Amino acid sequence: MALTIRSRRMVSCVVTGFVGVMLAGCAGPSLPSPVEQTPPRECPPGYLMGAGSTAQQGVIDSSIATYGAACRGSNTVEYDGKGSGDGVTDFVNGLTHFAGTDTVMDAEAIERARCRCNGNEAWHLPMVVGPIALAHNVEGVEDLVLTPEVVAEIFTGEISRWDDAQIIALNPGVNLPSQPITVIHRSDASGTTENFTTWLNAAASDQWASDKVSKNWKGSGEGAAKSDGVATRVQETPGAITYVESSYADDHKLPTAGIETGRGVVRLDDASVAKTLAGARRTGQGPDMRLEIDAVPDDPEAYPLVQVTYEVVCSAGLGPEQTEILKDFLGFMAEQQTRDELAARGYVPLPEELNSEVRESIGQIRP
Amino acid sequence: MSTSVEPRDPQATPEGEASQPTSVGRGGELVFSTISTVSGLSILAILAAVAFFLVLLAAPALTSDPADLPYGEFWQWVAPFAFGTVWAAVLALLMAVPVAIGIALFISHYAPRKLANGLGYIVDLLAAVPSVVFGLWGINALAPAVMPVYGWLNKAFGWFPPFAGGVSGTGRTMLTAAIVLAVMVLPIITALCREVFLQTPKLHEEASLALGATRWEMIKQAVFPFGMPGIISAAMLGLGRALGETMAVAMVLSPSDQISFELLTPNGPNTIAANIALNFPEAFGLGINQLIASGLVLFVITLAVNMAARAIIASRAEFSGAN
Repeated sequence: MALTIRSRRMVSCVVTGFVGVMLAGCAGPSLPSPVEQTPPRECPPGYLMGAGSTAQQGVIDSSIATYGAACRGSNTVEYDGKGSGDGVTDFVNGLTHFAGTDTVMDAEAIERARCRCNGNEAWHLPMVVGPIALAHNVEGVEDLVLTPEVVAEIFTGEISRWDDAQIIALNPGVNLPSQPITVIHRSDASGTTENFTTWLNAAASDQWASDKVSKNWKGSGEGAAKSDGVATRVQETPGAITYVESSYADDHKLPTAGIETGRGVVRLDDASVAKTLAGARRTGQGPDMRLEIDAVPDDPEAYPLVQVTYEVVCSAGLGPEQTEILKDFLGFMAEQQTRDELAARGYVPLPEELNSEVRESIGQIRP
Repeated sequence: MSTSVEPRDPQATPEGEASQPTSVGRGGELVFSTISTVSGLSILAILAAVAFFLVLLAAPALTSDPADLPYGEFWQWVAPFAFGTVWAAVLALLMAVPVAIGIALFISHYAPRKLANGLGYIVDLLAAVPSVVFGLWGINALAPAVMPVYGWLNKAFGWFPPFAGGVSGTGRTMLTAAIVLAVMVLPIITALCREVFLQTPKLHEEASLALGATRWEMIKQAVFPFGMPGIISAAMLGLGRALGETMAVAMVLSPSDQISFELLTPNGPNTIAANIALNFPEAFGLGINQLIASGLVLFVITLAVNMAARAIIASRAEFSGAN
């Protein structure tokens, strides 16, 4: 396995070098002005490979693209969105340099990660937040409001029509159609399903029993593969509702439901997500930033359905070359300019306070 | 085609060659017999390696305490998927085989020569379409189109258990998956049947026609009896593809984990292959072993189906017009 990594690295070094030469050759005679405006970034050379969560793939891919442009091909960063489970397995087996995961590693994985990092601790760094939206397609309804209990009953099939008395009571003045509700859920195992069902169980335990908390959907409805699949099905099916990472809801122009927490209605936006993260509890120590978000946040203006995805990295022991490039790349992701660009593309950026802590943690990574 | 009609032939040939003294200066004989022997043995070795890998990685899931398994007790967990696999494949065959025989007969016995050639090419082209394209067609074109039909079936024939229950809101049901599978296995079955029908001895056909049979009677008397083992093996090849098809089912079917014959509801059980594809990325530890163990179950099902097909062909061969 070590052999694979090494040979891959060699290949990519060769490729990078080649591309670099080509770029230098092309850019030489006619200096392109827009690139010259930003001072060229000093990037450590080498190859960095990560794998894991599909939820953060969009953000990572987009960061890799801008990072690659800023570094002008002096190094290579790759991310393979193959799923959190696979990503952590690859990382602890030494196949990759970092992992992306939707959930905190379990005790066994933490132990194995310690071996992978030559006896050093592995840290969770929250880099990407993905609020889960209740995206729906109800004709003429934009501002739907639901309580956790009603959400649970919709997703168990208990409430099966949009003109159900409970939904009407929550939405006075809204013209709800007499239409069956089609619940769409993930048919593949997914961290989004796990986070959503965890929230349902915590916020509406009478309607959503704990044995239904799982990566595999245990409620009613119809399955579709991947985030894009569920969003597309909702878009196509009148009367459909699903839970999906908010950027997919935006992509498909689906309205999202507000949540009535009992202390007012919370809608999904940057501010309400930032409030949720501000109130998140720390379960890790120091630079290991594991977060726990309350199903019913203390802050009445906090949006409760927020999924935090982490990069799992070695606190030390990755080796000098990879550590350099890992710190540089993660540092780049935490820079204000990168965050602004991500926000412009519809992703929710990490709140200021949390982000500066992440930068501190990155600074403490040793080779 | 001759392989399925007379299965013992190819095995006999290399043995016969090997025992004959071939050193008359023709090195080609030795080279060729070595190549074919190595090829023959390597397919056995590959199969053994796959079986070994499956058993080795499935063992932890089969031997450990059910409480430790992430998806629950193994047999209880795998039963609906095994059922779904067979159910979807059988439905697909029920739809595909009659149509395939019809197309093959049309090409071999009814169509004018030029049209027959063109049609043959088109059917073969269908076999080259990647399964992900069939999957996309299934969810984006077929599923919305069949929804009104499903609603009508449910209203008119709701008393018939497979059509009972609450109709799906997206059309992505077991019946839709089976239709997609049927289209996917159609070219294989058609191509094989066409070749078999074309092999019918001209003398049999002419004898039948000379006795005053109409064309349909001739086909019943001469073509079908001769082609029956071929039709069965064609259907079995199609079944093999339907059993193992992953991508299209994973995309089209809204899967459940319960045994249900309902064709129009979202309760259709997933197939083993699609279930592995959908769950493998997030699986870890024993979950991986459990998924691989379900792959072993699929391997055994496929093996059993193929052995049954062989047995049918062997028993049929004696009565067919082939000898």
